Amino acid sequence: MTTYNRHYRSKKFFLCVHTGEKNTIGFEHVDNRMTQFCFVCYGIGKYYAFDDNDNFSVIKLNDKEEELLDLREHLHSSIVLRSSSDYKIISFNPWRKEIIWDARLLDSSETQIKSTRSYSCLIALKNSFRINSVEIPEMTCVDLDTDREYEIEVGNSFVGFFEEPL
Amino acid sequence: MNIIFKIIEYLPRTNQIVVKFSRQNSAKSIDSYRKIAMNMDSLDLTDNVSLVESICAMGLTRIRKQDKNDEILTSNEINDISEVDDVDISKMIGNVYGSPEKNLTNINSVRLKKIKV
Repeated sequence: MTTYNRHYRSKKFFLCVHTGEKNTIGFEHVDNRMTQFCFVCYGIGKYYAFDDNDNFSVIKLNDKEEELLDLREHLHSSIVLRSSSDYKIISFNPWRKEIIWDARLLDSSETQIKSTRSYSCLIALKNSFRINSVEIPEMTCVDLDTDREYEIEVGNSFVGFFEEPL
Repeated sequence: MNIIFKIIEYLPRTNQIVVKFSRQNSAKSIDSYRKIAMNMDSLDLTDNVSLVESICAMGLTRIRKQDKNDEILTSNEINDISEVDDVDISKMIGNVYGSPEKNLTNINSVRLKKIKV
């Protein structure tokens, strides 16, 4: 059982990449918890999110591959993760826990992207994509200018679109 | 063991900082240790935490030999550091910052690469 963690720091957030083997059990206390979204590159497993009354919610990682889990509801919960297969996940963690971001994966049919927020970015979470004819490699970020429209080619990549609240 | 340092001076002409290191639980004040000049080019300026950790890493061999069991003096208390504010060396001068030694040996942290379009 091994878990390898790598952190990618940016000014407003950081990404944590976790890869592990089947039957890994991980813990994260609420005091250390910053994750609002989690991209599942591959793998099957479950998150157990505990509230103050010892109740817990179960978040499955196996509904489909390559999904962006919305974990904002569990930001103030301690978490246990148990994997049922080898896995790789990338968590999105704003430095300021109190600021709640929005995020989604781009659809492969999308050809244009624009944000009205003062800060937003695209991150190539898996494979590379193109924006205004520039290739963006995996685990690379593009900051978007406010109200500017960009041409995008998602192709076979998985691109996270992250927006800070207004 | 926590490693602490105090930036005594910034030398913009040579892009160096003058730093004193200590163990946080040293019986002696950080002020009583020898100061050394450190080249800013070899430090990680990604953000404040990266900067503090890279300075501590540079001083690691210097303070490793010091005794582990002393109480922490008031003058060696670590100041809080913001992970989101811009790096500003001038604001750090005269204050004590530090990082647990384990953070320096286990970190696998890199800056997220950005491309401008």
